[in-house]
Amino acid sequence: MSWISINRLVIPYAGLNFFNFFSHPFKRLPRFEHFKSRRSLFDTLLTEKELIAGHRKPRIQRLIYERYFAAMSRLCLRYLQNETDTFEAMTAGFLLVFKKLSGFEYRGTGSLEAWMRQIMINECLARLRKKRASSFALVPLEQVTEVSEEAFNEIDAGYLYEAIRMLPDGARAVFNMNVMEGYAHKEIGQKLGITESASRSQLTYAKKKLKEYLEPYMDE
Amino acid sequence: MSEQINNPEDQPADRLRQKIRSLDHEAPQMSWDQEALWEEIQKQQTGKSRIWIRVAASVSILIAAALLFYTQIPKTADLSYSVESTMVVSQAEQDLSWMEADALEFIEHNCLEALIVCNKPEFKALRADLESLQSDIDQINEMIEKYGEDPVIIKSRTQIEDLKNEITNKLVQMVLS
Repeated sequence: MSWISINRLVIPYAGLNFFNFFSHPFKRLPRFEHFKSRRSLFDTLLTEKELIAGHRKPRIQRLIYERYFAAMSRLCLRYLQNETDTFEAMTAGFLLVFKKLSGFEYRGTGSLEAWMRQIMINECLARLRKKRASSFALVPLEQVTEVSEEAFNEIDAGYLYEAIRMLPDGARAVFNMNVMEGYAHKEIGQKLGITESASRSQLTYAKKKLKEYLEPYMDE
Repeated sequence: MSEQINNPEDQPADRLRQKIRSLDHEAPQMSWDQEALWEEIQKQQTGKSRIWIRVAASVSILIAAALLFYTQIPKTADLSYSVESTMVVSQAEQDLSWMEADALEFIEHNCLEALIVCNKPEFKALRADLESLQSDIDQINEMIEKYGEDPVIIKSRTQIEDLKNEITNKLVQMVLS
């Protein structure tokens, strides 16, 4: 077969393929939807580092928000109980996150979330302090008996979460800070403007109250 | 979190923490949703940037006003002088321009009749000078229109006009001779 005859066969065929390759997908799929779905798929694969690097772009801010919304809303609701206060704290928290992210120093996987949690906790505590300063006061220790965290081992996470939310403000704040975030009593005292012993008594009280709330579900 | 609780006796606390954190992937049920909060964040973000734009705009307006005021002070001080002088100059300018126009028309008219003097290199050079002086005057007039009547610019325009008149006179004399 000569070159001319090969070209006669191949070129029209290749031309048809070329046409099909470029026109067919766009004719079938709306152009925007095609790219949008691909982009969102790509976005979910972005690492923390990439999110930090592009945090000034509104699209990346939205991604950060979407990625951490669930965790941050759970966190704030656990501290504040009230949904309106949670809304306010989260608004202020995310605004602060976007503002201060340029100064954030990446220290490995999870460091961004830990930093964001810190910001959200501070926002929540600021609201708690402003509204209910009196509720952090010392709880008389003779009223309470020590309860270990082990008591809650068999409890369903959802019940436990709701029980924590039911705690009085002071007990809830101390329990969250000590048990959930790992703050020492000295630090809690500084953050909430209470004494170390008040923090200890609030924690003991919180555990006792939790046991009370969850007792009906402990045998299940 | 300077003093994290990590000793063995706190293992139950760790388990408790992990249990609660296991819920973190799922947002709790609330009276507001994810979109409502995002809209509020966006609103406050744009609101803050708008405030900065407003502040920047008002600061720049103040600076512009201050500059304008500062530059206006010497001008207003010179106003009486400059107005008077321009009035006088403009009257004289008007007369001169009429005289000039007549003289230039006279030269053009005579040169059209193919006077020998019009073809002389000296005459041609003077006419070229006259044209360049006129373009200089046009430029100065443009500057005055743009930047206002500055005494220095007006003075230089008067000097150029004097030179132009002198050349026009020479040309007229050459035509008449």
